[in-house]
Amino acid sequence: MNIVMIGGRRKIDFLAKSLLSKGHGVTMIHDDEEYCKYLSRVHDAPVIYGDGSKPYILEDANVQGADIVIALTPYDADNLVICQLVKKVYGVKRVFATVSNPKNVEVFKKLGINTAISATYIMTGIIEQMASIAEMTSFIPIEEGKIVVMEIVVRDNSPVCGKSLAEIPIPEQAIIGCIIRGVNSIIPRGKTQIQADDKLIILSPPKIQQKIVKLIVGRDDI
Amino acid sequence: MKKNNYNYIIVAGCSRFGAHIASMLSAQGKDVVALDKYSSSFRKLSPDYSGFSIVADATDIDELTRAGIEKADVVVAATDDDNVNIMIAQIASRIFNVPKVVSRLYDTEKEIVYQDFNIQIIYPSRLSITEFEKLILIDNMEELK
Repeated sequence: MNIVMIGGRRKIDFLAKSLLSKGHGVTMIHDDEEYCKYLSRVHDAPVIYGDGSKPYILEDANVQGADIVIALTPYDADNLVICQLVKKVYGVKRVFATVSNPKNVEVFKKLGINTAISATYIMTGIIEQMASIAEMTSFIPIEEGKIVVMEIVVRDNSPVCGKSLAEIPIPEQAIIGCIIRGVNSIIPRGKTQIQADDKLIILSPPKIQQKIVKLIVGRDDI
Repeated sequence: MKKNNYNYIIVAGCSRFGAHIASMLSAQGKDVVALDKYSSSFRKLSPDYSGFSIVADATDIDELTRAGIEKADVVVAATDDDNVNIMIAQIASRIFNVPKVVSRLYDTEKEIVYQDFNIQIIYPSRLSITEFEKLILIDNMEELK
């Protein structure tokens, strides 16, 4: 896939590395000349120096042929204009933007950009969850938090340790989708027994998340 | 002076342009709120400006609400940054349904983002060109004399 990325420092650097290693075509636009030199030195991909919210710079980056455009500048207004230009003028279907003000996720949506990501917003959620429950090792909200994926470690003092899945009263809306046991991953059935040090991957709506944590960890100190 | 119904006006960005508009409307007896990120910008307002001036980021919907955008008749996006003006104008028009939104836009290549929006645009570059043509035309006419 052809991906054009605009602005951002660590983010663009890291994303470029990750996308290039997966074999995608990447073009980067940045408005800091020195940083452009760095990017082109480190990555084997075209780098364009300029203001990515200007149509002629976007054209230099061949944005009309891009499958995905990602706006990573630190200014929400710049990212909004980049996304709108790219969608309206160049017909790119998939655009992503990061926003620094978490409130702008909603604002972008109302202005036609449905895929704004707020690092602050996501991070706050993850930190709150992980800081409150030691057993929770991962926490990923999906669809703006309508559903969450949690990874919970089972200790030997856990009320579910040694039980089979059928014996655990898991609420209907949630599911234990996978058990990570050492290096193996198990898709559990009713008879599957949970052992100490298992990691449970659980899918649940946030409403009953607390109930599930209590069920597995044995306490709920969220 | 011609009467109109525009009584509550928010000027986002206290640039020379914004400050002048705010001062002018305030002198006409309108309720004016001037917003700018920096309080130092408000020195550009005329000494007898009697409206409000609020230090705020005008792309933040909470700050705009605080400035009373819900009851605003006119919003003028007058910052020095095209992209910021675009964002402010679109928020005012689409999210708060402000009846009249005016935006300054330097880069004419960006006007397409205002498509499908009920926003009036002032193009300083086009105005300068028109003015330049007028001046040239006058010179030419003088030569003809």
